[in-house]
Amino acid sequence: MSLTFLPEDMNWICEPCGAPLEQGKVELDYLGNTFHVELPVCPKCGAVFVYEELALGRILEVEQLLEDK
Amino acid sequence: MRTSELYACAPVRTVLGGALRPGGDQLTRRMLRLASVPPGSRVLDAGCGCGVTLGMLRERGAMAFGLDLNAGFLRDAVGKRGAVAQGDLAFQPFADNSLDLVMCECAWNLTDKGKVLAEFFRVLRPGGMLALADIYARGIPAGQWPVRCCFAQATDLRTVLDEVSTAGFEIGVVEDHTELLKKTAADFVFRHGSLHGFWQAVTGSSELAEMACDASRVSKPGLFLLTARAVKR
Repeated sequence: MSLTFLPEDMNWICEPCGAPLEQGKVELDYLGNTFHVELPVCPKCGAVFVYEELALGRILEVEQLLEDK
Repeated sequence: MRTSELYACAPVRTVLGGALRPGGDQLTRRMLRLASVPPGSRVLDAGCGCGVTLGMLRERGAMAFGLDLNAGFLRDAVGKRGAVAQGDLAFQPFADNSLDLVMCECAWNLTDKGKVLAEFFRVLRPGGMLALADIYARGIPAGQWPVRCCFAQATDLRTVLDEVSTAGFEIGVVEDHTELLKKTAADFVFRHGSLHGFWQAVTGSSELAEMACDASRVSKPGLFLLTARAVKR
């Protein structure tokens, strides 16, 4: 099962590589748990862009849940 | 007793697939490692759902039987997975002392728990094993849940062990698998944006979703697995 999380504006460039980010499959690992999602990824270096809304929303709640907070 | 709506609803089934319980079949595999299931063993999957565990039992050569209230799930299980019947776990269609193993995964909390334990004890042969997994309360076992679900009747683990012992069982292994429950909840969060979003998808109401989130904060649900032997003289 893979969920897709892309920012409204996909016009993002990887600064070191200069390549436009593309939708790519990513494995998020946290506290022994793996989540399969699709996020903006640099096609050259593989850097993943976790945008602010996602980081402070779903990912923060997942972290708190897994940490029992 | 009527069947729960939570485990059968679309937001849950989308994430859990056929196994209908936290962690998919991981907990089942652990149970099967703990329980001795030689070929020919007579095993009941109490609350068998779509028959995922029945399939795993048949792979091991067990004579597997499934019992569940939900006719829709049993239609998926029938034929390909072993003998199944629609029925209440409090009235099991088996003779006394007729089974080697009873497996019950995340179904006990939906039942008349004392009556069902008495039935498990009745149908198991002397020394037969009960493998039980369900939700327990790591916090205060209270709170109002907006739907009938495995969380609503959850007690603390001490109470679970007392109930099982009082029914005539000798407790063997007790394990905490709360991490599997947390992972499932995290999958719900990823899919629905938050736990509130998940409960809103289940209940269709923001107020009821808040009620569920409040109940969860108070009771801090966990997941246990235990094995116990039927002590009969």
